[in-house]
Amino acid sequence: MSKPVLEIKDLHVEIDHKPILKGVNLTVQGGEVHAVMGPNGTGKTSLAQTLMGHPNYTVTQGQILLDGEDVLAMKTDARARAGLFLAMQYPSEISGVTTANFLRTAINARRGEGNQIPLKEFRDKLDAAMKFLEMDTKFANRYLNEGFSGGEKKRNEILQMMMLEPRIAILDEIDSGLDIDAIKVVSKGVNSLAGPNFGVLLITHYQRILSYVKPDVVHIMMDGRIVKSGDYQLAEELESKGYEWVRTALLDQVQ
Amino acid sequence: MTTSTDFEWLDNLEELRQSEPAWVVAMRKQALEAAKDLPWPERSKTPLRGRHADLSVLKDPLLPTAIPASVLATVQSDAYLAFGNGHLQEQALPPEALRQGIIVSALSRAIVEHQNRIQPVFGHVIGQPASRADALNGALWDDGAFIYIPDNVTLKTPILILHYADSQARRLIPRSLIIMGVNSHATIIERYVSASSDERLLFLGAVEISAQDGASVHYGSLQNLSARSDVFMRRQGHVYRDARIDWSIGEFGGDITIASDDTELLNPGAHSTHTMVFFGADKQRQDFDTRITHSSPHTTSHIIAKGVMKDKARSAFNGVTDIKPGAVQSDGRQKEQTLMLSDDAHADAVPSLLINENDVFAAHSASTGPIDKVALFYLMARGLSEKEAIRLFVHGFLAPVVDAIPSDLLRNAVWDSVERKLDQ
Ligand SMILES: Nc1ncnc2c1ncn2[C@@H]1O[C@H](COP(=O)(O)OP(=O)(O)O)[C@@H](O)[C@H]1O
Ligand SMILES: [Mg+2]
Repeated sequence: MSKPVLEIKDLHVEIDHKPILKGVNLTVQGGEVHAVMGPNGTGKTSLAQTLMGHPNYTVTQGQILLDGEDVLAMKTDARARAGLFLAMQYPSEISGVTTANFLRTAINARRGEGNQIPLKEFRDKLDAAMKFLEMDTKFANRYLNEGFSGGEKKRNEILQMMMLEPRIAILDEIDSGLDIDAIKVVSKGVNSLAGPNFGVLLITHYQRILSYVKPDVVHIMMDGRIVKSGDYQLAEELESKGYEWVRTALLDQVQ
Repeated sequence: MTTSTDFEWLDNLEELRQSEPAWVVAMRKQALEAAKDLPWPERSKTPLRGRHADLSVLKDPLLPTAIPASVLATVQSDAYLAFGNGHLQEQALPPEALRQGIIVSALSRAIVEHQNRIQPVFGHVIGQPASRADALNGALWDDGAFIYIPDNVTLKTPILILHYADSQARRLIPRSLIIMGVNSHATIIERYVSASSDERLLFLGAVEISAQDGASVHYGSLQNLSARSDVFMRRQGHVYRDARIDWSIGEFGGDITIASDDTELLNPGAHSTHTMVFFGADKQRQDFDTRITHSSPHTTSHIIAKGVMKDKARSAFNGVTDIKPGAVQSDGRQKEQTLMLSDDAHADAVPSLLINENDVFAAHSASTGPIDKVALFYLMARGLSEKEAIRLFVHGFLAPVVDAIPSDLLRNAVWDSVERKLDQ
């Protein structure tokens, strides 16, 4: 498949008639890593969920395009099949459904009727991915996220990403609650897919993970808007000066 | 309201049943007398609104019918009985089972051939009818299975029983009797199927099980009657010393379903697990009373129910664990969970513990709620269609209970029934 292009244009989003995103512009292409940083409650998760079509978020203005196709016209599952992947900040627990069974169903949903993945091929791929992520293979037969620790859930999100091989991955605080070893493992997973046909939108609160998943562009988001974009140094500047700096120095400037 | 005069035409039971032994006809007549005065089962959540006033369907003869091959195939095995419109059509029993003295027979034949075994038990497990549905079954049962497993005999092969009603049938009144001898073991699965029809089907079913000392029986039941059926089901078990009855009940079919399941733990060491899986769609009404009575010390029980309601379906599950005075060191548990797939669906689950003894353990939990929309979003975000996401979620919800059903055959049949409900 060709190099993906995800374009977000003047995106306005509400929850319960409350404006959350107030005109977000962002383009992620294959081969690029974009980091989105910002304080809590600023709309990062709302952006991620809106990209995937979460029913609670209403788009009131703007466009989302994947390879020029109108993403907002697609249902959530169609977006996934078009190549979008969202690693969720708070993954759901699904009782009674094993991770392995779920992943096979998901892979087959993407491959379509008559093109189902052979069981052996699936097993081998799953084993390899779990090994790569230093996961106990027992996880494959545990119910999806049920009773998983925060860190196990994050690793499981990355496992799913590796198995589904999306074209654009949106990672919502994949690093939160992880120790440094776990961050390295998760980063290794993300980097394993790197290439011209894979783009990343990495949402994070902290600069830490950016040492392992190197962003090409860093965006700072505040109050539902991207207020500043720059290269890796912007993340370092943010780390040293803190979000208060952005609030005073940048937000006034935009308003 | 139905008045007793509606029954007068039934008073010629002797003529209708002239081939039966006098003691059976006498039981039928007694039940018929009771039916005249008893009300239909009264359930607070499921008003019947006089739907069953038309008892003329009890009068017409039920003609034998060929069972469609696809339906018959679900029970054809080494040990089975298949009834079409209440007439025995096919059966099998392995020769070694015969040698061991196992009886798997039509009840209509067994009351003649095995009177000495049947008479002390038949009708005594259920006892006095509690409703008009019970009483009418007692008076008018067509046929059913008689199963006897002799003392110290274990049958590995499951015994399968099919009750099929064709599209002409307006009623079906099956009744089965299972006697488990001392230290005997068996698996018995009964299936109820009817052809789809525009006409209503009045179904009055009854099952009696007696598990004698040290016996164990896994009794499965799967009900897939047509969507125009009024289903009244009565199942009752007596469990003696160190014996156990494990019920696995799947309720899927019918328009209205009213089931009363009652198990009595009569001697020390008796145990019963009662597992029920139900799934209502469209405008189905399902109402289940499941009771386990501990009338002896050191008895244990577990009631487990999982239900799914979609469309405008409604269900009520009432579980009762009744621990009688003196039943010390007894242990009774209940767990009920229902899942609603639409805003118009409704489910109630009410566990009750009636405890008249201090030295016991009892626990219950019940939960009912709508399907988790965020979880569906999560599944769809991986590429599953909404339908597939719901299917996977429902599978996950039911799996802990369905996958624990000890018989492969029943487990697969329950999953098939779930699939069909999901697609309906
Ligand atoms: N379900 C919800 N209902 C109402 N408000 C919400 C909901 N989810 C998020 N919000 C609000 O939307 C804003 C943005 O939240 P979020 O996108 O989660 O931010 P971030 O991920 O940057 O911490 C916050 O003010 C939050 O309170
Ligand atoms: Mg967030």
